[in-house]
Amino acid sequence: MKWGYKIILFFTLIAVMAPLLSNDKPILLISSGHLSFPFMNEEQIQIGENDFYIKPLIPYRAGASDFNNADFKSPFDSQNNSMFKRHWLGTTLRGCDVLAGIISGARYALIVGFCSALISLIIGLLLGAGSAFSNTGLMRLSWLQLLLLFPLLLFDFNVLFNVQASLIFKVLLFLVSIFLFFFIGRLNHKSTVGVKLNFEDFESQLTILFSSVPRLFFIVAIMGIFHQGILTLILLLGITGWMEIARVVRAEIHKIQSMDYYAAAKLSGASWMRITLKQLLPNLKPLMMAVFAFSFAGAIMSEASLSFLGFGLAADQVTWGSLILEGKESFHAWWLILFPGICLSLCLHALFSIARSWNNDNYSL
Amino acid sequence: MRIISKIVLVITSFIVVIAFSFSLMRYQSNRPLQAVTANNNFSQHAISVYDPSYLKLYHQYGLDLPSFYFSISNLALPYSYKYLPACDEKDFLIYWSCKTGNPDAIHKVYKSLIQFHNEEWRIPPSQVLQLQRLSRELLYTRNIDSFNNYYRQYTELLPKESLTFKAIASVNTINSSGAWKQWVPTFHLHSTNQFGLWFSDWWNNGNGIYSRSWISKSTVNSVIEKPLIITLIITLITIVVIIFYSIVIASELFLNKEKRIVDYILNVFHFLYSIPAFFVGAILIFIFANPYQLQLFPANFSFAPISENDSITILALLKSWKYFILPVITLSFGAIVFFTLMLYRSFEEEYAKNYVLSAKMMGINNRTIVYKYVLKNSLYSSSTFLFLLFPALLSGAVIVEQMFSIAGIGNLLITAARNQDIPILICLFGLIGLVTALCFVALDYFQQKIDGKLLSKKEEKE
Repeated sequence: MKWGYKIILFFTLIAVMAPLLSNDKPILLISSGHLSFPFMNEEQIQIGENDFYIKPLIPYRAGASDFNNADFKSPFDSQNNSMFKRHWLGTTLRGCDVLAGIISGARYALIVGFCSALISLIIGLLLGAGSAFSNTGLMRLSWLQLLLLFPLLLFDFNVLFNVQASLIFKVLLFLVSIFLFFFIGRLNHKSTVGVKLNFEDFESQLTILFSSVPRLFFIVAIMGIFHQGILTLILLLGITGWMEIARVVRAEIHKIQSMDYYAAAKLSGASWMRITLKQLLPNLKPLMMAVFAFSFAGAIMSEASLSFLGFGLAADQVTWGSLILEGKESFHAWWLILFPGICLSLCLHALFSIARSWNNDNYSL
Repeated sequence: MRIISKIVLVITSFIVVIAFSFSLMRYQSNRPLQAVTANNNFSQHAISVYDPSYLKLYHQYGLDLPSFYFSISNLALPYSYKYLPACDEKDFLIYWSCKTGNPDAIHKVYKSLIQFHNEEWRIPPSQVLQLQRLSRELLYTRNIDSFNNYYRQYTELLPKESLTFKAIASVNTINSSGAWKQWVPTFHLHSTNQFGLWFSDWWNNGNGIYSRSWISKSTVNSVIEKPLIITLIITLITIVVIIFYSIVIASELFLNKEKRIVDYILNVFHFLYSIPAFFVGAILIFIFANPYQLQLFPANFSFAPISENDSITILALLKSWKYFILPVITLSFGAIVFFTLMLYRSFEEEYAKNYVLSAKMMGINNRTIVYKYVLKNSLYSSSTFLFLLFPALLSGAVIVEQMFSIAGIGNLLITAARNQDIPILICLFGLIGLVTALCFVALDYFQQKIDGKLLSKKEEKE
């Protein structure tokens, strides 16, 4: 196993076990013979003197203030705490534990990165594969159909919403008009005059349109207006990240289609499904992994940059970017910049090296 | 021909980007007038929503209009539903317009029925109740015969001198001969919408209220002008720095004979590539602009001579050279690393070709080969990156400008997004979209030209 995977696995484990690692509630509590796991619940608990409990490794919640150690305590400062309650990586202005913040930041970074990369992968795969396969001209409109398209749409809209008639009659008329449209196409489908509605052209126009506003620019403008939250962020990052994936997937499928083994499979009479499952997907896999890792890293970087600008997640959700933002405000709190920055760079570097290991030549990162 | 089609594409994409951003901002969750009424961030609710002046402002800024407005209707109906009154009466009008195919007549009847209540004093009291009943029947009947019947009774009962009678006397007896008109669809594009008002106002240099900033109340052009120039200066300096340093570093690395050291440096570069710009900037500020550490360079760009005056002079630009260093390093760091790696890779590809071998045979110096021939050919292949550098740097400028408090486009974007200053946001969107689209066109043109050059060279050889 390469070290890139090890780092990502390490951060994933931290993210999954975040409530077990850093929490202000005990993991396990036995009070008067009753066993409970308070870290899973939201409500506050009271611990009696005779109770047995196991505290997490870091007894602080991310973003919770500790006013005994407020005003930027360095990791090497003397702290007003016992040894077991020490802030190992220092505190922020309000006395929030930096290590707990880093653990929570790993959680948010991985969730946001993975989900938005998945969304952009799905969109990019669908559009890229669709445009790669559509060059055979599946949709072809004759001139008559093109001429009729807009008036027919108007007519249907008018019939459905403006005309005074019974609903059944309206729906029937609508279905008849659709049938008529395709019937006309069927009549003169052999005519050479016509326009091929190419999905590839549509996809490339859509790509240009989406990449005409830079990602960060777009998300800052939209996040300022809509509610800030993890779901909005994931959706926006996913929607703005698919262009490169679609381009690469389309090029790769075109390349595979020109290969000899693809032609051989087609000549031997393999079905469409068999070709897709046995020839296309296995050969597409390395590129997909590389592209997924790359967009994963891009999403993490964008999330951190947005948090740094104050447009990322909500204010009470501590991320690596928000920690660096707080460190930038003060001139001596180096631990607020260094530790989250190292975590972020390590995570990104691991993802980039995974992406590089999956493809060596055909896709420059 | 191809360039013309590309330019048409740029214009359409510009309009689509603006329209898209406009419609997105229309459906915002917060109330847009908070930004108009608030003078600063601390008095967000300067005018209450229940205040009558709130509605007045809402109307004044055209926010009660739809963002885009087109209507699909038919010949029997009036063009737009917008001027039609409330719901029941609208139903009545649509129903009878479609039945009779005569929207004007129905509109007049409707108006006269409304007017009736104002003219009660002209009518004998004995008939008032009957007339009121008739008018109600007329408004809500759905049967053409009974409508004609009621209509006749109504006109007979009304006194001849009343305005209502005069109004509806001009309307002939309503028949259903025009009912076919409801099957003919019409499409109408209306100009009185938010987007139309904003665009015409912006086109006329912000004479009206629609395209002005909601916060500073000044025109969009005057708000954007200076930040745009500052951002352009920084971006251009950064581009020059990126190209120069990446070429020098890549060539010197390639010429270095100690391949172990070169591999080591390249691995370091691979790691440096994954360091985000804001982390680099924060470290730079922490080390070089920190009063507790080395205080070599200033970090706050707002104290620079260039940003203190309204107009930008070359003297002020030269005086504030110190303020440019840290932002330019931060902005160019990632791009230099990326471009160096890319150039090194294409050097390796180019160096294996035959012309290098023949140049070596001729006894040309290795350094001359790399700088004169290999570099030129690898720059052609990586020209895509160079053209897309500009929009990428504009995006990166958002972070850098926020970090060093530079009053540029990125900072403007952030303040506008925080204050929900929608006219500025839309204009920024359009500007960036236009710049990026132009870069795409330039890239396309450049590549076409290079291909043409290579092709003509090949043809000459043949």
